[in-house]
Amino acid sequence: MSADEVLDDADRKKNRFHFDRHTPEYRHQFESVTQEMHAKCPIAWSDTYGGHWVAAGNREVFELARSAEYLSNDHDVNNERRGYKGITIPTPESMKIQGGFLEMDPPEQRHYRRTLNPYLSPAAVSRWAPVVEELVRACLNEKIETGQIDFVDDLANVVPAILTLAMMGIPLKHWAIYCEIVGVQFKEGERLWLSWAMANRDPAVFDNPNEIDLARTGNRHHSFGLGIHRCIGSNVARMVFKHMVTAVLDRMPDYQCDPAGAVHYETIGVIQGMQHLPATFTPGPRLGAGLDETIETLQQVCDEQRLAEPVTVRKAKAEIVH
Amino acid sequence: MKVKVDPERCQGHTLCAMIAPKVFELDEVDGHSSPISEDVPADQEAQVAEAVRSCPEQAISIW
Repeated sequence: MSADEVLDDADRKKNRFHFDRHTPEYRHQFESVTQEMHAKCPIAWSDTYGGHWVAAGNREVFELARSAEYLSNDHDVNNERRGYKGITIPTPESMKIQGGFLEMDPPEQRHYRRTLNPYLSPAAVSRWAPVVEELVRACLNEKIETGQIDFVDDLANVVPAILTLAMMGIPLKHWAIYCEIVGVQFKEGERLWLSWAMANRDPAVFDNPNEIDLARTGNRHHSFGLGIHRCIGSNVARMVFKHMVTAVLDRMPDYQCDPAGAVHYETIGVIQGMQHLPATFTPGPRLGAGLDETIETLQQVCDEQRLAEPVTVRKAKAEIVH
Repeated sequence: MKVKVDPERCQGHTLCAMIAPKVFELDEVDGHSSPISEDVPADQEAQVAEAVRSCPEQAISIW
Protein backbone atom coordinates (compact mmCIF):
# COMPACT_ATOMS: atom_id res chain seq x y z
CA MET A 1 0.00 0.00 0.00
CA SER A 2 1.58 3.28 -1.08
CA ALA A 3 1.68 6.45 1.01
CA ASP A 4 -0.92 8.00 -1.33
CA GLU A 5 -3.47 5.38 -0.38
CA VAL A 6 -3.12 5.69 3.38
CA LEU A 7 -6.07 7.63 4.74
CA ASP A 8 -5.79 9.94 7.68
CA ASP A 9 -7.39 9.02 10.97
CA ALA A 10 -10.47 11.20 10.51
CA ASP A 11 -11.16 9.58 7.16
CA ARG A 12 -10.60 6.01 8.31
CA LYS A 13 -12.84 6.54 11.31
CA LYS A 14 -15.56 8.51 9.56
CA ASN A 15 -18.22 5.99 10.56
CA ARG A 16 -18.60 6.53 14.27
CA PHE A 17 -20.97 5.05 16.78
CA HIS A 18 -21.08 5.53 20.52
CA PHE A 19 -20.99 1.92 21.64
CA ASP A 20 -20.96 0.93 25.29
CA ARG A 21 -21.97 -2.64 25.68
CA HIS A 22 -21.24 -2.88 29.41
CA THR A 23 -24.37 -0.98 30.40
CA PRO A 24 -27.87 -2.29 31.24
CA GLU A 25 -29.14 0.00 28.45
CA TYR A 26 -27.31 -2.11 25.90
CA ARG A 27 -29.22 -5.21 26.97
CA HIS A 28 -32.57 -3.39 26.84
CA GLN A 29 -31.83 -1.80 23.48
CA PHE A 30 -29.86 -4.58 21.84
CA GLU A 31 -32.26 -5.07 18.91
CA SER A 32 -32.65 -1.38 18.11
CA VAL A 33 -28.90 -0.71 18.43
CA THR A 34 -28.25 -3.65 16.12
CA GLN A 35 -30.75 -2.43 13.54
CA GLU A 36 -29.27 1.05 13.66
CA MET A 37 -25.75 -0.18 13.13
CA HIS A 38 -26.81 -2.51 10.30
CA ALA A 39 -28.55 0.39 8.58
CA LYS A 40 -25.96 3.12 9.13
CA CYS A 41 -22.56 1.64 9.83
CA PRO A 42 -22.09 -2.11 10.02
CA ILE A 43 -18.55 -1.36 11.03
CA ALA A 44 -17.83 1.74 13.06
CA TRP A 45 -15.27 3.35 15.34
CA SER A 46 -16.28 3.97 18.94
CA ASP A 47 -14.35 6.22 21.30
CA THR A 48 -15.42 4.22 24.36
CA TYR A 49 -12.89 2.20 26.32
CA GLY A 50 -9.87 3.86 24.80
CA GLY A 51 -11.28 3.68 21.30
CA HIS A 52 -12.03 0.54 19.30
CA TRP A 53 -13.73 -0.74 16.16
CA VAL A 54 -17.11 -2.46 16.41
CA ALA A 55 -18.21 -4.89 13.71
CA ALA A 56 -21.95 -5.57 13.65
CA GLY A 57 -22.76 -6.59 10.07
CA ASN A 58 -22.72 -10.26 9.16
CA ARG A 59 -20.47 -9.80 6.12
CA GLU A 60 -18.03 -7.65 8.08
CA VAL A 61 -17.85 -10.05 11.03
CA PHE A 62 -17.38 -13.00 8.68
CA GLU A 63 -14.54 -11.42 6.68
CA LEU A 64 -12.75 -10.13 9.79
CA ALA A 65 -13.06 -13.36 11.77
CA ARG A 66 -11.49 -15.25 8.89
CA SER A 67 -8.59 -12.83 8.49
CA ALA A 68 -6.33 -14.64 10.96
CA GLU A 69 -3.21 -13.19 9.37
CA TYR A 70 -4.35 -9.66 10.36
CA LEU A 71 -6.37 -10.35 13.49
CA SER A 72 -4.55 -11.06 16.72
CA ASN A 73 -6.08 -12.44 19.91
CA ASP A 74 -2.74 -12.11 21.67
CA HIS A 75 -2.72 -10.91 25.27
CA ASP A 76 0.88 -9.80 25.72
CA VAL A 77 0.81 -9.50 29.50
CA ASN A 78 4.55 -8.85 29.96
CA ASN A 79 4.91 -6.65 26.87
CA GLU A 80 7.31 -9.03 25.17
CA ARG A 81 5.78 -8.88 21.69
CA ARG A 82 3.54 -6.05 20.48
CA GLY A 83 1.78 -5.21 23.71
CA TYR A 84 -1.61 -6.40 22.48
CA LYS A 85 -4.28 -6.58 25.10
CA GLY A 86 -6.25 -9.75 24.39
CA ILE A 87 -9.90 -10.17 23.53
CA THR A 88 -11.70 -8.28 26.27
CA ILE A 89 -12.41 -4.58 25.77
CA PRO A 90 -11.69 -2.94 28.18
CA THR A 91 -8.80 -5.09 29.34
CA PRO A 92 -9.60 -6.14 32.92
CA GLU A 93 -7.22 -4.36 35.27
CA SER A 94 -7.33 -7.03 37.97
CA MET A 95 -6.52 -10.10 35.89
CA LYS A 96 -3.17 -9.64 34.24
CA ILE A 97 -2.85 -13.13 32.85
CA GLN A 98 -3.31 -14.51 29.38
CA GLY A 99 -6.82 -15.95 29.02
CA GLY A 100 -5.72 -19.38 27.88
CA PHE A 101 -5.19 -20.27 24.25
CA LEU A 102 -8.16 -18.10 23.26
CA GLU A 103 -5.75 -15.20 23.86
CA MET A 104 -2.95 -16.67 21.79
CA ASP A 105 -2.16 -16.60 18.08
CA PRO A 106 -0.90 -19.43 15.89
CA PRO A 107 1.45 -21.29 15.98
CA GLU A 108 1.23 -21.45 19.79
CA GLN A 109 -2.60 -21.41 19.71
CA ARG A 110 -2.63 -24.40 17.38
CA HIS A 111 -0.54 -26.54 19.75
CA TYR A 112 -3.02 -26.10 22.58
CA ARG A 113 -6.02 -26.57 20.31
CA ARG A 114 -4.64 -29.82 18.87
CA THR A 115 -3.95 -31.11 22.37
CA LEU A 116 -7.54 -30.50 23.41
CA ASN A 117 -9.27 -31.63 20.20
CA PRO A 118 -9.39 -35.36 21.04
CA TYR A 119 -11.34 -34.60 24.22
CA LEU A 120 -13.91 -32.31 22.57
CA SER A 121 -14.47 -33.56 19.01
CA PRO A 122 -17.95 -34.80 18.03
CA ALA A 123 -16.72 -38.40 18.39
CA ALA A 124 -15.20 -37.66 21.81
CA VAL A 125 -18.30 -35.86 23.07
CA SER A 126 -20.77 -38.50 21.89
CA ARG A 127 -19.13 -40.98 24.28
CA TRP A 128 -20.53 -38.90 27.14
CA ALA A 129 -24.11 -38.89 25.89
CA PRO A 130 -25.28 -41.72 28.19
CA VAL A 131 -23.76 -39.87 31.17
CA VAL A 132 -25.54 -36.65 30.21
CA GLU A 133 -28.80 -38.51 29.73
CA GLU A 134 -28.48 -39.87 33.27
CA LEU A 135 -27.68 -36.46 34.73
CA VAL A 136 -30.62 -34.81 33.00
CA ARG A 137 -32.96 -37.60 34.10
CA ALA A 138 -31.79 -37.26 37.70
CA CYS A 139 -32.06 -33.46 37.70
CA LEU A 140 -35.65 -33.63 36.50
CA ASN A 141 -36.35 -36.33 39.07
CA GLU A 142 -35.49 -33.87 41.83
CA LYS A 143 -38.33 -31.59 40.76
CA ILE A 144 -40.79 -33.62 38.72
CA GLU A 145 -43.20 -34.38 41.56
CA THR A 146 -43.45 -30.74 42.71
CA GLY A 147 -44.69 -29.12 39.52
CA GLN A 148 -42.05 -26.39 39.90
CA ILE A 149 -38.55 -26.04 38.49
CA ASP A 150 -35.99 -23.34 37.81
CA PHE A 151 -34.45 -24.25 34.46
CA VAL A 152 -31.20 -22.45 35.38
CA ASP A 153 -30.71 -23.46 39.03
CA ASP A 154 -32.03 -27.00 38.70
CA LEU A 155 -30.92 -28.07 35.22
CA ALA A 156 -28.80 -25.75 33.05
CA ASN A 157 -26.31 -24.90 35.82
CA VAL A 158 -26.07 -28.44 37.15
CA VAL A 159 -25.52 -30.72 34.15
CA PRO A 160 -22.63 -28.90 32.44
CA ALA A 161 -20.88 -28.33 35.77
CA ILE A 162 -20.86 -32.02 36.65
CA LEU A 163 -20.02 -33.06 33.12
CA THR A 164 -17.04 -30.71 33.08
CA LEU A 165 -15.69 -32.17 36.31
CA ALA A 166 -16.08 -35.67 34.88
CA MET A 167 -14.37 -34.75 31.64
CA MET A 168 -11.31 -33.31 33.39
CA GLY A 169 -10.90 -36.78 35.59
CA ILE A 170 -7.15 -31.87 32.39
CA PRO A 171 6.31 -17.66 14.86
CA LEU A 172 7.78 -14.59 13.69
CA LYS A 173 4.84 -12.73 12.00
CA HIS A 174 5.00 -9.77 9.59
CA TRP A 175 2.20 -7.31 10.44
CA ALA A 176 1.17 -4.73 7.87
CA ILE A 177 1.01 -1.29 9.50
CA TYR A 178 -2.23 -0.73 7.64
CA CYS A 179 -4.47 -3.36 6.21
CA GLU A 180 -7.75 -3.03 4.45
CA ILE A 181 -10.58 -5.43 5.07
CA VAL A 182 -14.32 -4.93 4.43
CA GLY A 183 -13.65 -1.49 2.96
CA VAL A 184 -12.12 -0.15 6.17
CA GLN A 185 -8.52 0.76 6.66
CA PHE A 186 -7.29 -0.52 9.99
CA LYS A 187 -4.10 0.65 11.64
CA GLU A 188 -1.82 -1.84 13.33
CA GLY A 189 -2.49 -2.07 17.07
CA GLU A 190 -6.07 -0.79 16.95
CA ARG A 191 -8.56 -2.89 18.87
CA LEU A 192 -11.59 -4.50 17.25
CA TRP A 193 -14.71 -5.96 18.79
CA LEU A 194 -16.55 -8.53 16.66
CA SER A 195 -20.20 -8.87 17.61
CA TRP A 196 -21.29 -12.46 16.94
CA ALA A 197 -24.72 -11.57 18.33
CA MET A 198 -25.26 -8.62 16.01
CA ALA A 199 -24.02 -10.59 13.01
CA ASN A 200 -26.65 -13.19 13.91
CA ARG A 201 -29.42 -10.54 13.50
CA ASP A 202 -28.39 -9.42 10.04
CA PRO A 203 -31.49 -9.42 7.80
CA ALA A 204 -29.26 -9.75 4.74
CA VAL A 205 -28.48 -13.28 5.90
CA PHE A 206 -31.38 -14.33 8.13
CA ASP A 207 -35.09 -13.82 7.41
CA ASN A 208 -36.90 -12.34 10.41
CA PRO A 209 -33.65 -12.39 12.34
CA ASN A 210 -35.15 -11.43 15.69
CA GLU A 211 -37.57 -14.36 15.72
CA ILE A 212 -36.74 -17.73 17.14
CA ASP A 213 -37.53 -20.46 14.60
CA LEU A 214 -36.35 -23.88 15.74
CA ALA A 215 -36.88 -25.19 12.21
CA ARG A 216 -34.80 -22.41 10.64
CA THR A 217 -32.83 -23.58 7.58
CA GLY A 218 -29.60 -22.19 6.17
CA ASN A 219 -28.80 -21.29 9.77
CA ARG A 220 -25.12 -20.40 9.53
CA HIS A 221 -25.11 -18.51 12.83
CA HIS A 222 -22.00 -17.34 14.66
CA SER A 223 -22.95 -18.18 18.23
CA PHE A 224 -19.94 -20.45 18.47
CA GLY A 225 -17.68 -17.87 16.85
CA LEU A 226 -15.90 -18.24 13.53
CA GLY A 227 -12.46 -19.16 12.37
CA ILE A 228 -9.57 -20.70 14.22
CA HIS A 229 -10.98 -19.87 17.65
CA ARG A 230 -14.39 -21.46 16.96
CA CYS A 231 -15.75 -22.51 20.36
CA ILE A 232 -13.97 -25.79 21.04
CA GLY A 233 -16.82 -26.73 23.42
CA SER A 234 -19.51 -26.40 20.73
CA ASN A 235 -20.03 -30.17 20.49
CA VAL A 236 -20.49 -30.42 24.27
CA ALA A 237 -22.98 -27.54 24.21
CA ARG A 238 -25.02 -29.09 21.38
CA MET A 239 -25.08 -32.55 22.92
CA VAL A 240 -26.05 -31.34 26.41
CA PHE A 241 -28.70 -28.92 25.10
CA LYS A 242 -30.27 -31.57 22.91
CA HIS A 243 -30.58 -33.98 25.84
CA MET A 244 -32.01 -31.29 28.11
CA VAL A 245 -34.62 -30.03 25.68
CA THR A 246 -35.69 -33.56 24.73
CA ALA A 247 -36.10 -34.64 28.35
CA VAL A 248 -38.01 -31.50 29.33
CA LEU A 249 -40.38 -31.88 26.37
CA ASP A 250 -40.82 -35.58 27.18
CA ARG A 251 -41.45 -35.28 30.91
CA MET A 252 -42.90 -31.80 31.43
CA PRO A 253 -44.36 -30.83 28.04
CA ASP A 254 -46.86 -28.32 29.45
CA TYR A 255 -44.23 -26.23 31.24
CA GLN A 256 -44.90 -22.48 31.51
CA CYS A 257 -42.05 -20.12 32.27
CA ASP A 258 -42.80 -17.26 34.65
CA PRO A 259 -41.64 -13.99 33.04
CA ALA A 260 -41.95 -12.10 36.34
CA GLY A 261 -39.60 -14.56 38.01
CA ALA A 262 -37.01 -14.59 35.24
CA VAL A 263 -33.73 -12.91 36.20
CA HIS A 264 -31.45 -11.67 33.45
CA TYR A 265 -27.83 -10.63 33.85
CA GLU A 266 -27.63 -6.85 34.36
CA THR A 267 -25.23 -6.38 31.44
CA ILE A 268 -24.48 -8.55 28.42
CA GLY A 269 -21.24 -6.99 27.24
CA VAL A 270 -19.60 -10.38 27.01
CA ILE A 271 -22.31 -13.03 26.94
CA GLN A 272 -26.13 -13.28 27.11
CA GLY A 273 -27.85 -15.60 29.52
CA MET A 274 -30.15 -15.85 32.50
CA GLN A 275 -29.59 -16.28 36.20
CA HIS A 276 -32.98 -17.75 37.03
CA LEU A 277 -35.86 -19.08 34.94
CA PRO A 278 -38.68 -20.47 37.09
CA ALA A 279 -41.43 -22.53 35.51
CA THR A 280 -44.46 -24.57 36.52
CA PHE A 281 -45.76 -27.79 34.99
CA THR A 282 -48.10 -30.71 35.71
CA PRO A 283 -46.26 -32.97 38.17
CA GLY A 284 -45.11 -36.37 36.94
CA PRO A 285 -43.41 -39.52 38.20
CA ARG A 286 -39.76 -39.98 39.12
CA LEU A 287 -37.83 -42.28 36.81
CA GLY A 288 -34.98 -44.16 38.44
CA ALA A 289 -32.68 -42.69 41.08
CA GLY A 290 -32.34 -39.12 42.34
CA LEU A 291 -29.38 -36.83 41.70
CA ASP A 292 -27.09 -37.83 44.59
CA GLU A 293 -27.37 -41.54 43.91
CA THR A 294 -27.01 -40.99 40.14
CA ILE A 295 -23.82 -38.97 40.60
CA GLU A 296 -22.35 -41.76 42.74
CA THR A 297 -23.15 -44.31 40.03
CA LEU A 298 -21.73 -42.05 37.32
CA GLN A 299 -18.52 -41.46 39.29
CA GLN A 300 -17.99 -45.21 39.29
CA VAL A 301 -18.75 -45.39 35.55
CA CYS A 302 -16.22 -42.62 34.83
CA ASP A 303 -13.54 -44.31 36.93
CA GLU A 304 -14.09 -47.88 35.70
CA GLN A 305 -14.55 -46.99 32.04
CA ARG A 306 -11.87 -44.26 32.01
CA LEU A 307 -14.17 -41.90 30.13
CA ALA A 308 -11.92 -38.88 30.53
CA GLU A 309 -9.30 -40.39 28.20
CA PRO A 310 -9.01 -38.73 24.76
CA VAL A 311 -11.04 -40.29 21.95
CA THR A 312 -7.83 -41.49 20.27
CA VAL A 313 -7.20 -43.74 23.28
CA ARG A 314 -10.72 -44.73 24.21
CA LYS A 315 -13.40 -44.72 21.53
CA ALA A 316 -16.51 -46.42 22.86
CA LYS A 317 -19.60 -44.74 24.30
CA ALA A 318 -20.09 -44.82 28.05
CA GLU A 319 -22.09 -47.83 29.18
CA ILE A 320 -24.62 -47.26 31.91
CA VAL A 321 -26.16 -50.48 33.25
CA HIS A 322 -29.56 -50.07 34.89
CA MET B 1 -23.54 -32.68 -8.39
CA LYS B 2 -20.02 -32.69 -6.94
CA VAL B 3 -19.01 -31.42 -3.55
CA LYS B 4 -15.85 -30.43 -1.75
CA VAL B 5 -14.95 -28.95 1.61
CA ASP B 6 -12.14 -26.39 1.83
CA PRO B 7 -9.92 -27.75 4.62
CA GLU B 8 -8.44 -24.27 5.17
CA ARG B 9 -11.88 -22.83 5.92
CA CYS B 10 -13.52 -25.72 7.77
CA GLN B 11 -13.41 -25.20 11.54
CA GLY B 12 -15.52 -28.16 12.63
CA HIS B 13 -18.90 -26.52 13.26
CA THR B 14 -20.44 -29.88 12.15
CA LEU B 15 -23.63 -28.48 10.62
CA CYS B 16 -22.96 -30.25 7.31
CA ALA B 17 -22.80 -33.67 8.97
CA MET B 18 -25.98 -32.90 10.93
CA ILE B 19 -27.82 -31.99 7.72
CA ALA B 20 -26.35 -34.56 5.30
CA PRO B 21 -24.76 -37.35 7.38
CA LYS B 22 -24.61 -39.66 4.34
CA VAL B 23 -22.38 -37.22 2.47
CA PHE B 24 -20.07 -35.65 5.07
CA GLU B 25 -17.88 -37.45 7.56
CA LEU B 26 -16.19 -35.82 10.54
CA ASP B 27 -12.64 -36.34 11.71
CA GLU B 28 -12.63 -38.24 14.99
CA VAL B 29 -10.03 -35.94 16.55
CA ASP B 30 -11.01 -32.42 15.50
CA GLY B 31 -14.47 -32.78 14.00
CA HIS B 32 -13.42 -31.25 10.66
CA SER B 33 -15.49 -32.34 7.66
CA SER B 34 -14.72 -34.09 4.39
CA PRO B 35 -17.07 -35.55 1.76
CA ILE B 36 -17.31 -39.33 1.76
CA SER B 37 -17.17 -39.04 -2.02
CA GLU B 38 -16.86 -36.11 -4.41
CA ASP B 39 -19.98 -37.34 -6.24
CA VAL B 40 -23.28 -36.55 -4.54
CA PRO B 41 -26.03 -39.16 -4.91
CA ALA B 42 -29.12 -37.70 -6.59
CA ASP B 43 -31.27 -38.21 -3.49
CA GLN B 44 -28.79 -36.19 -1.37
CA GLU B 45 -28.59 -33.10 -3.57
CA ALA B 46 -31.14 -31.08 -1.61
CA GLN B 47 -29.44 -31.85 1.72
CA VAL B 48 -26.04 -30.95 0.31
CA ALA B 49 -27.37 -27.63 -1.01
CA GLU B 50 -28.75 -26.96 2.46
CA ALA B 51 -25.37 -27.87 4.00
CA VAL B 52 -23.67 -25.32 1.71
CA ARG B 53 -26.06 -22.61 2.93
CA SER B 54 -25.64 -23.65 6.56
CA CYS B 55 -21.86 -23.67 6.86
CA PRO B 56 -20.85 -20.69 9.05
CA GLU B 57 -17.39 -20.65 7.42
CA GLN B 58 -18.81 -20.97 3.86
CA ALA B 59 -16.33 -23.80 3.39
CA ILE B 60 -18.41 -26.07 1.15
CA SER B 61 -18.70 -25.76 -2.60
CA ILE B 62 -20.76 -27.67 -5.12
CA TRP B 63 -20.62 -27.74 -8.86
